[in-house]
Amino acid sequence: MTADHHHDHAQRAHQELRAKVLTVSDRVAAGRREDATGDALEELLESAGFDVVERRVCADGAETVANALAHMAFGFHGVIVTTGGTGFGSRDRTPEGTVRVLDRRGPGLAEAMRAVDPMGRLSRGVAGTRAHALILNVVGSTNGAIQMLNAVLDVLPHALGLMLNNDDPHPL
Amino acid sequence: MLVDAPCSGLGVLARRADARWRIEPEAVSRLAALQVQLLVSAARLVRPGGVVLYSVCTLTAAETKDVVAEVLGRLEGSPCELRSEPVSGGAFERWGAANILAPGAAGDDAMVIAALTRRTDRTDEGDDAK
Repeated sequence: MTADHHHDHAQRAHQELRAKVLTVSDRVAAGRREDATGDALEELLESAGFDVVERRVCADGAETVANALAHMAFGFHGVIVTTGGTGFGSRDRTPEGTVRVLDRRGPGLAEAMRAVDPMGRLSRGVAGTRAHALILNVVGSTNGAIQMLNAVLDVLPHALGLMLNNDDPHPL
Repeated sequence: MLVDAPCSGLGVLARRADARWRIEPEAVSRLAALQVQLLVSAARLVRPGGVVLYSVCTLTAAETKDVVAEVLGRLEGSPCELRSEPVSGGAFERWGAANILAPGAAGDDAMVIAALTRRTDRTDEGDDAK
């Protein structure tokens, strides 16, 4: 490994990492439930070196999710984690709303998150990019959401770096 | 009073594809300056208490929220001072002193609007008091 490589890694390690969390839940949006999963995701992101710059809540639905993500992604470089609405419940439309705003899909991230637990098979969550934002759907349950984010957390800084600068796509 | 101001049109490229070739980088600052002039003129023309609705179909900060901030600052303390009211409803969100419809929030188009209310003159308030 060359000195240049060390320099690149050092720079990458010091890149500013930003994140936003979108909680998709009728009950949280109506104030009938605490946003425990949103809190846990924020805590995990912060401990991984991300600056959580926005928390937002919206009701279930493809349109509400697409609308929220469009605004959250505008002019934003970083990760947007959504929680909730990924399952087979009659109101679950988070993946449908997310694909409306994605430019590119990232199925590897979605499948890695699904594979963490047998219950992951019930998550229809997607992942991908919109401009310079990387969007991940995780489930609504706190334990499931944390497991899923942990499954991809290590590669997120590299993905975010590539989205801005593709000069060194294979540093490892 | 509606000021549907000339702008670079970058919020409606899906429908006006030719704009991406016609627009020149320096147009942004030129159009922003023109917008400031238009809004200042509108502020003088609208009646006290009336609303100037500013709308542009672009997304550069220079031609949108910066214009509103510049106009609010320039007119502050004058008889035609404006204040920017949040626009509720639809998919608009507050962006500085303006309101943005981000691309993708309601279809492909994007725009920025501001509802600018001219202050009520003191003489008018005096009349109302009588």
